[in-house]
Amino acid sequence: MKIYDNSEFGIHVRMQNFLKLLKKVDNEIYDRFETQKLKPEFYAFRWLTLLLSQEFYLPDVLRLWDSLFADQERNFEFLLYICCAMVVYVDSLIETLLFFQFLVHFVLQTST
Amino acid sequence: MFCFVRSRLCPDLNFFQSKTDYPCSELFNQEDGFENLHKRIASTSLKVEIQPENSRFSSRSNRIRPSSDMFTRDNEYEILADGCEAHWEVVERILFVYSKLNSGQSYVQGMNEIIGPIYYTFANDPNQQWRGSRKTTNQSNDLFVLFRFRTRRSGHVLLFYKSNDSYSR
Repeated sequence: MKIYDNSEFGIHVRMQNFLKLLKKVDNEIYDRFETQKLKPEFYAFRWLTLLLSQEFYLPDVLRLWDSLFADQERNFEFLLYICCAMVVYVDSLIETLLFFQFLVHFVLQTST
Repeated sequence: MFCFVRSRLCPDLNFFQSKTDYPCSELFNQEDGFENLHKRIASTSLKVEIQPENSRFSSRSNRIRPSSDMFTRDNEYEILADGCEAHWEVVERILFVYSKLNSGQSYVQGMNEIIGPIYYTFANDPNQQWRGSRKTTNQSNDLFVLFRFRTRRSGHVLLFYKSNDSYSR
């Protein structure tokens, strides 16, 4: 069964496609992931195999799948776009969080 | 937005504990007393519930045991009346048949997630007739065909070959 991993529909190729798309969408995030050696296997595996059914609430999943299945001819290419959008969205959140962390550190350091 | 902490058991997945309107009558009419999974699980969970009373960890397990109103009302494996089936049992049967017919692939962790929303959509069709008319097993038949079609056609099934490999480590 392992032979399918690297086939056209296999998970490795899917992840590579996802990475390519991420690079195209937001090169900055892609580079950071590269330097941090954060592979898509760590976070996107479940997204791609389960078609995001675990990330959203059921009504949202149904809405999402409606679009995903409509895209079936292109082997769930739309799914990769959604995943990229998720990464980009979360990235802005992380930046805000890091900023707050910085603020807290700053306040703590200046107050003592 | 999507949730990192997965807390979608209630009310989303509560649906699967509820009774289906179209149980598989063939199963219940068997003479040799077929014991369905529901009953097997019920007896197992009963054993588990009795045990902590005597153990020295009883105080701890009391806390874990579902005692709040929410849980007792929708007991996870509440025993349904004879001749009734929960939705999850129908899903379980579909997955079982699928794994038997595709013995090379068998069942892989995560398949339930794929079939869940599909089943939910079918079982909640606004048109009553489409939910499972004519024959009682119709619905699961349709669903099974669709599940197979979907996984085959899209090549998505190959992802599961892969996931099979990495999960079995």
